[in-house]
Amino acid sequence: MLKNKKKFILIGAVAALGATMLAGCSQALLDAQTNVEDSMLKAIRTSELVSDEVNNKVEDIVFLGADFDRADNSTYDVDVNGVAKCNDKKNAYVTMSYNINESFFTGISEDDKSEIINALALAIEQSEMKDFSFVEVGNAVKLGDTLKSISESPVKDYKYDKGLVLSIEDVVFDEQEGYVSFQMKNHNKYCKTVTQMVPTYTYINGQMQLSYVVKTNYYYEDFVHTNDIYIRASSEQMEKMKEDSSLIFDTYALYVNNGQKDNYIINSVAVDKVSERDATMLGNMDLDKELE
Amino acid sequence: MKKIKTIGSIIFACASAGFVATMAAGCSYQELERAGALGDKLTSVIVAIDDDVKDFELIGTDVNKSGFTFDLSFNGVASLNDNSKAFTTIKYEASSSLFTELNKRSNADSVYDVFDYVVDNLSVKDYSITKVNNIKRFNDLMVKNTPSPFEGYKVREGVVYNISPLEFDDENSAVSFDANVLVNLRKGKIQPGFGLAIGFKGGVGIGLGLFYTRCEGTFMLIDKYTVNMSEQDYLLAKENPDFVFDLVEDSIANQNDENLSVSRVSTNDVTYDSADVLDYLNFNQMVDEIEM
Repeated sequence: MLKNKKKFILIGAVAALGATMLAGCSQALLDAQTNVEDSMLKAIRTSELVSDEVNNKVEDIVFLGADFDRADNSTYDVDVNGVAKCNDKKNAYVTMSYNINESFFTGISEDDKSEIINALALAIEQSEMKDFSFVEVGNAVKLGDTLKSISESPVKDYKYDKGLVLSIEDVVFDEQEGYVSFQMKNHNKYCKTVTQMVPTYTYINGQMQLSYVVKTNYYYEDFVHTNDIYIRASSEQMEKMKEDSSLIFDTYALYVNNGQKDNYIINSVAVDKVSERDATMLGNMDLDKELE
Repeated sequence: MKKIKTIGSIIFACASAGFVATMAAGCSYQELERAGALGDKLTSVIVAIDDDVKDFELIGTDVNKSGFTFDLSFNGVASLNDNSKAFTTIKYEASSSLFTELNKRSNADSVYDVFDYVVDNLSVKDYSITKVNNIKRFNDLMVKNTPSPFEGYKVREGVVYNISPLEFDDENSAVSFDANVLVNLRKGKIQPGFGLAIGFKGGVGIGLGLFYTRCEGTFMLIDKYTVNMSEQDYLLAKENPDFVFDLVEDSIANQNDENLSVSRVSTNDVTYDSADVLDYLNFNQMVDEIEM
């Protein structure tokens, strides 16, 4: 009865300069990441949607992931997310939107992340960018650090383990109400630690016997959160923030780190799962080192 | 007297359920008592607004943090003077400062202290009522027709929270509405692992065990239902809107999706875990026990 929209989220790896940085990250995946980042940078350099000012600012880009929404029977609406390294030493979240023909992914194994990312790289090169978002956040690592304080597990008994901000969009200044808002999408991993005892047969003292096995187990669940975030700002602060948007996120991080709950609001808009085929590299990357 | 009977029977149902120890441990009498008391307050408010309403049972509260003013929707089922039943929502706006100390896992007392304050001190912002001819059948079929949004997770239980106003499309003789369905999702995980083995006959060793855990959470799903009708039925629906829900029920029950299309609008986390009674709710029993 219910016709679900086909949707999946592709979480990319942040490739370190040295392959040894990423234990368990195959060379194929690192190469695919480099490939898609090259495509993204080329798209920024050539698209009419990107202003000269932004084009001149962006020195490099780090791929974070892609969000696929089924548009119709033959195409996907894809948001490709990344963090740009700018020439003023600041970071910016970039979202590039495409309508991509599914033929780019025909014959590709859903379990092979590197194949999917390579296909995405080719799709970006051969498709026209439909929309472009560039939001300067200052320090992307500092922004990511707020996730620990603001994240609440959607499932019971699980606690926040680690997270990655995927995109920042829709910055809005509401002078009448006295706040600035933006939408943040982040991928979080939650963990439940349980010490359990189960019956089994074990070879002990020369014989198989009924026994109890005791083990502390770690269970993980991944979710992608889309949140609307509101921060209080005076008129003077807003004027400065309009000139330099990174001040918005510096202020937000300050409020969160100082526990000033009266000054910020996190409103959950949507919650998604990262499907098992998306071999997320969250936990194997070091965004801090990548953005140095 | 009716309210106590409802709570008593639900607790009895909890105690005699299959997972006896687990369910009894998880049942919170405080949560039910607070929800019941708040429901009584809301009954007085609704009866004062709407002459047609005789009684109201609260199912749960949805809190939307739209900036520094929160929108509260108290959702439940009302019984009317003509002996029909209706999904009923009563809305308030409240300052975020009331909620500063609350988080998703706050206990029932903390959450309902704030809800009680809102109802006692603030004015109703909006009120909506949606009559459904056979509300028990409708709720049952709608929940069964709501697929889990996440792979591996099953809908353990659910309830229709509210129905949006009907939208009439004269050009296509179609009627559509959004259904907010609150669901409890659950999945089981089995994880093999080696651990310390303690033999029944003595001795220790290393053994292999299969460890099981459950992962569950409450989510709000919004699905858009569109019913295509003959012109005759469309005119009938305009005069008697609850006829639309009869058509939806019949389509779902007969598994006939020729005239009914459903699409998922959003999946979201709930703001406060203790703001609804889904874990303890027997919807049909509740409907039967609402004062006739």
